Amino acid sequence: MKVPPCFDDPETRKIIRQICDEHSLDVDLLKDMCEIVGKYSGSGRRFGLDEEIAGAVDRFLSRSN
Amino acid sequence: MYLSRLHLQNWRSYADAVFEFKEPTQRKSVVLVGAMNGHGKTSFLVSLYLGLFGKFGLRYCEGFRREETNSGESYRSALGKYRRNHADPSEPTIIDLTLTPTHLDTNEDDVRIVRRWFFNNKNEPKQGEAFEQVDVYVGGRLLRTADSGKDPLALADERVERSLFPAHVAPAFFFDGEQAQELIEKMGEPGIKKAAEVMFGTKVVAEAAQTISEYLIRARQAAGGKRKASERQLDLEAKIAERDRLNEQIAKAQADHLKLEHEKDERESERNQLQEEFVRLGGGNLDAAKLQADVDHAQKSVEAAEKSLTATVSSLGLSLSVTGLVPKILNRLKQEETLESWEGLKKGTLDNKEKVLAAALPEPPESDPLLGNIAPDIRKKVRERIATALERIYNPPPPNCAESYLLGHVKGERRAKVRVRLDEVQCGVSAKVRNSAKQLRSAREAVEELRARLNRSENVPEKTKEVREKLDKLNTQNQEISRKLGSIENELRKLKADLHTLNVEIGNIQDDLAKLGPEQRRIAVAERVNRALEDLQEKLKPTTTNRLEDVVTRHFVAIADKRFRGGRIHLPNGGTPEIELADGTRALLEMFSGFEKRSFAIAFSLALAEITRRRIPLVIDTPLGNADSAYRPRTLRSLTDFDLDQTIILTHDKEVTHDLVDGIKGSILQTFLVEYHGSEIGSVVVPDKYFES
Repeated sequence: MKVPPCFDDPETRKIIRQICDEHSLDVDLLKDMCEIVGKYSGSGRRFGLDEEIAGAVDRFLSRSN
Repeated sequence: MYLSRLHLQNWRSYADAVFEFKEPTQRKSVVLVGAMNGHGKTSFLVSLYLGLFGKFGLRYCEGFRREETNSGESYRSALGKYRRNHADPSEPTIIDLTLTPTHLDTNEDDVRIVRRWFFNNKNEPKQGEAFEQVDVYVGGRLLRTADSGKDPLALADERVERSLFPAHVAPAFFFDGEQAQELIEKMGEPGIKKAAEVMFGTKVVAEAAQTISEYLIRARQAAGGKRKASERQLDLEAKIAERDRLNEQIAKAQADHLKLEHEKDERESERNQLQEEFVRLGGGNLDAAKLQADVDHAQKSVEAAEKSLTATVSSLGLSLSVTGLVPKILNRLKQEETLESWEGLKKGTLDNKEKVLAAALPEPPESDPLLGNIAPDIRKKVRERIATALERIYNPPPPNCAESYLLGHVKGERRAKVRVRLDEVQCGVSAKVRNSAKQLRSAREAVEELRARLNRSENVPEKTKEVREKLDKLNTQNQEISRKLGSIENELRKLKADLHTLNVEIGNIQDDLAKLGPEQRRIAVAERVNRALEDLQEKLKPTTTNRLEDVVTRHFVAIADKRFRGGRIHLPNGGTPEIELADGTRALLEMFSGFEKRSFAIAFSLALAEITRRRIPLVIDTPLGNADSAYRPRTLRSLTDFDLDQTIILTHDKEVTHDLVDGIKGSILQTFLVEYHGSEIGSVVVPDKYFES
């Protein structure tokens, strides 16, 4: 699954960065979330989804520490 | 990504035909497929919709409206029509197509979709699940659909969309030039725009927000139920429940808003049609409701002008009361000024009388060499005569001289100032009253003219009156809808502000909870991610539209006539596209000529490809149609100059002629000629061939 094009576009990247600052997050975490959701989208499968989300959050927390 | 292979079996005029497409290069990416009318151009195009998206693709096929394609029966019936007439009943109809990544597509695999439709021995579509079968191969591996518990066809369609592109996007990349009008109409619906959002990634963002929201419910449950939860946790859950309610209210208000907007659009469109009918019936510009509003407005102007005149007159009351006396006072002051001046001269002369006499008759007489020797009594008489003569110099008083002073308290400089002030009052009063009266006269004339037009509008035929009444009714309804819309917008603003406050409170509680343990910390971060994704959705929507408008405009202006230069395309929500010309006037694109609409469709496709950087092949059936000689090369150049992986042009011999082919020779990768050899053999595909020159 590719990252949604809005993460590659210079104009929308600015918006994303600004929103991340407002919510004390980083762009990588949002990218990871979109990638994970995109990976499971349409498959009807949920097994492993929560672990992947938790893993992305943990990676963010260790980046922040 | 490019279409590398298309195999059609028992498909309309194709008995069994294969198109093998070469891998495009950066310089050569155009494929010309030549076919005379009825030989298989549209069948090629339709095979892409139905081969890729099955039942969902039918809505984009000529002759099948969306409402007709919802039932399985109409889908079966449509496939019955697309099946080749002379097909052997034991053989299915097959569309087998493969899309292959180019060197520019990273981490992507070949996607092959094989769709088969089965028929009974009467060549009628089979019932139920026996009718259709689809196999999806990604990277040569068949994707399993049987054991997921979902409908295998629906699952296959989802996988095609995930592996390639959403079905909504198909009409923007595979289209019949003749159907450009329909594409524009569909733009009025959210369809294509939604497709742009899908391709731009905003749909994934929305999906991510929803998924994280579901994750949070599960994570909170896992972190401890209510019984174990601390007071703070309970507080958090109460706030979250409140937020859910608020979100529901927001969703309902947004749905109501959308519904009302659609209703308004429908009424507006009905109103425009009625207005056109009204004009056609001879109502001309006599829009009764508007005229009545104009009359009311003009009447208000008359009242305002009357008030202004009254106010002018009353504010100048004192001035006006003296204005009638001003000329008399001015005249009197002038007379008294003359009197004062005369008296001054006379007094000066008389004050110098003794000096004059002393000069004329020096004393003593002995000192007067001329008259010193005359008798003293004569000398006295001469003296008296000179004195009298001196006094007579200023007698009688000059004309216009006052006899006495009535306004004797106003003299010299003071009198001059009073005269200037009186002149100003006289002029000022006249000008103000004159202006107010002029405004009143103009306003009254305007009312009379509008009333006359209104009267004329009331004397139009019965049918026209009916239309006008309907128009009035629609105007009233529209006003009511606008009022309701405004009210919902206010409510939404308030709800969103409440939501923001609640989110801050929830965030604070979560920060506190985050100090408790790793699960709570994860929940706190996921909550923030959820909010960030929701904000992102809101903010990306206008950006996506703006970008699309910018890029569509650039491509359209490059193709279209020079009168559109400096213009801008607008894609209004829920409305058909408009173009704003350089002089600021706006026009609906659907009112333009057929080829201008076709140019728009091409520009839209190129724009979508550009902003999303999706390398989807572009397939256009008769892109030039009836374009004039200036449009033809420009359109072809736009298609060939644009950096697309593959552009397949389906054309007949009179459209992309040899002259035009010569102009784009450097970009042509491959040609095909499709020839129809009668009902038994059907359409035959001949590679590397084109129409004879």
